[in-house]
Amino acid sequence: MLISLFITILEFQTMIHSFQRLLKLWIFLALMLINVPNCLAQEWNSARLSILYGSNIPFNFSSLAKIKNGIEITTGTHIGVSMADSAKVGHTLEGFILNFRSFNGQANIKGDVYTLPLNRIQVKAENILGLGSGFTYGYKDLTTGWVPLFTYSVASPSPWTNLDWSNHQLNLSFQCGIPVSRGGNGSLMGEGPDYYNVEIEFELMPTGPGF
Amino acid sequence: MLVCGLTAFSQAVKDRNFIPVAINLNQVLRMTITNGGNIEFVFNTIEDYKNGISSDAVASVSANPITSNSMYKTDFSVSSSTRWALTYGTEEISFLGTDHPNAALAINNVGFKILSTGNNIFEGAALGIGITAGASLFSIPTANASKVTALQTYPVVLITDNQTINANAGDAADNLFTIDWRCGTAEGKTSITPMNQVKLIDQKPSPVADRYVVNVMFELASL
Repeated sequence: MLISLFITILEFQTMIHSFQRLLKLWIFLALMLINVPNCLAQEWNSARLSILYGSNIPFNFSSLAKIKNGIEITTGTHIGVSMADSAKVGHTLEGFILNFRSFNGQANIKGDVYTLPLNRIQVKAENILGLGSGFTYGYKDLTTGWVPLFTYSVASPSPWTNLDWSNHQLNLSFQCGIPVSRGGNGSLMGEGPDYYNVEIEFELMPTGPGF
Repeated sequence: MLVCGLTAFSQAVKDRNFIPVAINLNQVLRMTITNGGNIEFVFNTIEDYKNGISSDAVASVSANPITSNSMYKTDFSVSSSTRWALTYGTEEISFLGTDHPNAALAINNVGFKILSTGNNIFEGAALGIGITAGASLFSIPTANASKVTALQTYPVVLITDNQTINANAGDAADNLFTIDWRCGTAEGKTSITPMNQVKLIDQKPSPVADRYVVNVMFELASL
């Protein structure tokens, strides 16, 4: 009788151990399967480039004088610059740089039949409001790579003041077909009559320690 | 550790924008004759018949050297936004008499030399097309403006682009030309198209006295 009872107890303990092992396995599997996506995102700053005027620039070469001497559009595009610092440790916003290039790596100015070299178009950025301490690079050739047009910087210890589009604006001037003698890359004399176009991409990039 | 899978992002924020730029190139192509749109040679002396009449009297050793020079010149300009070619020639194969319609005078009794007075210059006299980098004009009939050529029937390419980096495109200041006409001077012996080498006084049969007329057409085309 005692022996029989002892055997029964042993079997019951074995069952409990088996159940415990099974439970551990289930818990482990459950932990493996449960995916809890926890993300923390922090942005060091905000930046916004707003086109306020001149979102489309047409050059109309309607006379021989224009073809020979080129066209300069001094009041081309007005852009507003908005930029704010989010005060994250390790990053100090001090200014920005404005770059430009042909969109999507377009290698030339495409017409329906003919093409023109990209450098027949030159672009300049100048302050018109609130960015007077910035630096303009003057007219720069359009290329497939980023080229700086304008930089603005508030050096330490001067405190950074956030920029908003209504009080911080730049003017972009465009010129096309300017002769070499006047600082361009050649007139359009001799080029085929066509309707050429290219998209120009502008990039507003924050600068400062940590950026 | 397994439950808490934490991912953290941090970044600088940039912004981009796009401006489409369009270039509309309109074709400009124009020829303007500014002087000498009507040339008339009047032979009224034996000297005229013997030596001919020329706007380039000294070179031609023609009759009436003092009065001839400025009388038989045609000045014209070409304004073109693209490379161009000028084709010319007479409407008829010979001069036709006004009073005697059946009378004809060979058109090669009339010849001319062309001169560029604008900024664009011709290729070297004995050179082929595209040899001289700074030269933008090329002319086969006149051996690049170096020789007298006889008048020919339409169409003959008189001036074309020299196919160098400097296009012959340009305005009237770039493409300004003078044609020095002559008649009966028997010039251009070494030219590709020489004038009639027999002077009017020696021709057989002698030309019937009349007023001979032919139109010379010029056609400017974009290349």
